[in-house]
Amino acid sequence: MIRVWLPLLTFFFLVFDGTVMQVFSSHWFGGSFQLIPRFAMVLILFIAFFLNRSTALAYGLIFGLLSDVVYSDLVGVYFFSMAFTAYLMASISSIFRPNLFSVFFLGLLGVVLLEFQAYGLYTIVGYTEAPMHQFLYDRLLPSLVLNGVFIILIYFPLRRLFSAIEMAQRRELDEIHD
Amino acid sequence: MSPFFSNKRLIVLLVSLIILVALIGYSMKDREETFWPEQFLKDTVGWFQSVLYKPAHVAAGFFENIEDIKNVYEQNEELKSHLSKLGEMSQELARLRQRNEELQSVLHKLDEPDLADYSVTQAHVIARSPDRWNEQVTINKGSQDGVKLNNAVITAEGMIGKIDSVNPFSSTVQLISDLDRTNLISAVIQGNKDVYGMIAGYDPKKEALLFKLIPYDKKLKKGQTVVTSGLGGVFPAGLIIGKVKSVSPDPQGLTKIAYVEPSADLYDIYNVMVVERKAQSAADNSESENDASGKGEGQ
Repeated sequence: MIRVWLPLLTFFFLVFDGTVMQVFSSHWFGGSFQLIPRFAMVLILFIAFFLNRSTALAYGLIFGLLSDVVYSDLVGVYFFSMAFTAYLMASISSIFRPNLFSVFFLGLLGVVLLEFQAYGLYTIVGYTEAPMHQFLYDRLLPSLVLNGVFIILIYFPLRRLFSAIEMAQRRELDEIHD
Repeated sequence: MSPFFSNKRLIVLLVSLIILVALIGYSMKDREETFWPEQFLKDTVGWFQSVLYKPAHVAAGFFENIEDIKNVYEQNEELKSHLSKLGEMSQELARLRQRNEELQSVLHKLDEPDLADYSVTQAHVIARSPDRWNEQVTINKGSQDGVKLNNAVITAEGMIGKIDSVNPFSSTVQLISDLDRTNLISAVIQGNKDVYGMIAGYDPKKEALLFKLIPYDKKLKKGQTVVTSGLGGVFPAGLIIGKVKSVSPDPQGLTKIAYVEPSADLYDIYNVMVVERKAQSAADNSESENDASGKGEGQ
């Protein structure tokens, strides 16, 4: 039953991105900076680091499609880029052992990848005309700080959840063998 | 360990890129109605969003109230001075309204609905698109509450956008700051002589809307009010959009562009009103007559 927490948590943060973060960002961080929460993506990246590649890909596809439908009128951008990022980062992360440092930097790398894909796709279809330097300084760097803090905050609780999931899986396997 | 991209995976990647292009192409079409699973998803997620958004808004409001207490005294003084003028103004308003009705009845115009007449539906914002590429918010009223496509959405301060897609219990609002090329408002700059034109586009750096198609010889001043003209056939007339910030010649040099600062705060939105105009547009009439799929010329 503990596996149910994972999709619920990802869904919760997908909604959290668009509601709570939007209320507070306008009050606290007004100004020219754009702080873009990518908390659902960060959670999928955790799945890519701690579980396996195919699960991460499935989560990327499902929640990418969901965020496309709910938060934009353009279906396809996050459907593709979240799944692609999850797949790529799961492949890269298999070289490293997951600890706080590797997860922190790989997680940020994933967020950077996603931002660049979204920026590129939205530029191609003409939804944005933001020049590169504005994208880098006003958007990417502040967003990296926000998502970096989030990664550090949820690292320990999530690691506990993943080890519990692993334990449950092992127990199931043992029962099958018995 | 297997390589990242074997031949098979490369093919999968290419196929998914093709699907991506097809999906984007499909959704970029001007769709009148959204696909029903999309509506269902949006409504379901919308319920969760409204559960989360309200407490967050209340909490944020609490912190704001604490800041507000600091300047209550100044505000009070200012409001008192406004209040003394209020009686005078309401008397004049009543007199002018009566005179207006008299004059209109002389012209036999009363049975025609005015371009400025509209009906209002109250709504709350329940979510905002987290990536700021889409300037889009979701509200908690949908087709069940009478919200229709392309209705104007306003706050107490001014216009913030139009209804972009409608679901049974929620709908999405495209903000006026969205860079979509179909985001057009036919508007007028009020002054001694009204200047008609079109709000088309947004400059994110200046945080100002672009008011285009101003004849070159018109003189404009900073601070003039911009309102909707109602001539596009979609929005009612007289909704406040903003104030002129600066004026510059357009790249071709034939017309002028005014930068208009929106009077509504486009970041801190909670209570909104969905506005439907009562006057039928020319496009509606022709549609009912010969089922033409004609839409209003600018919106």
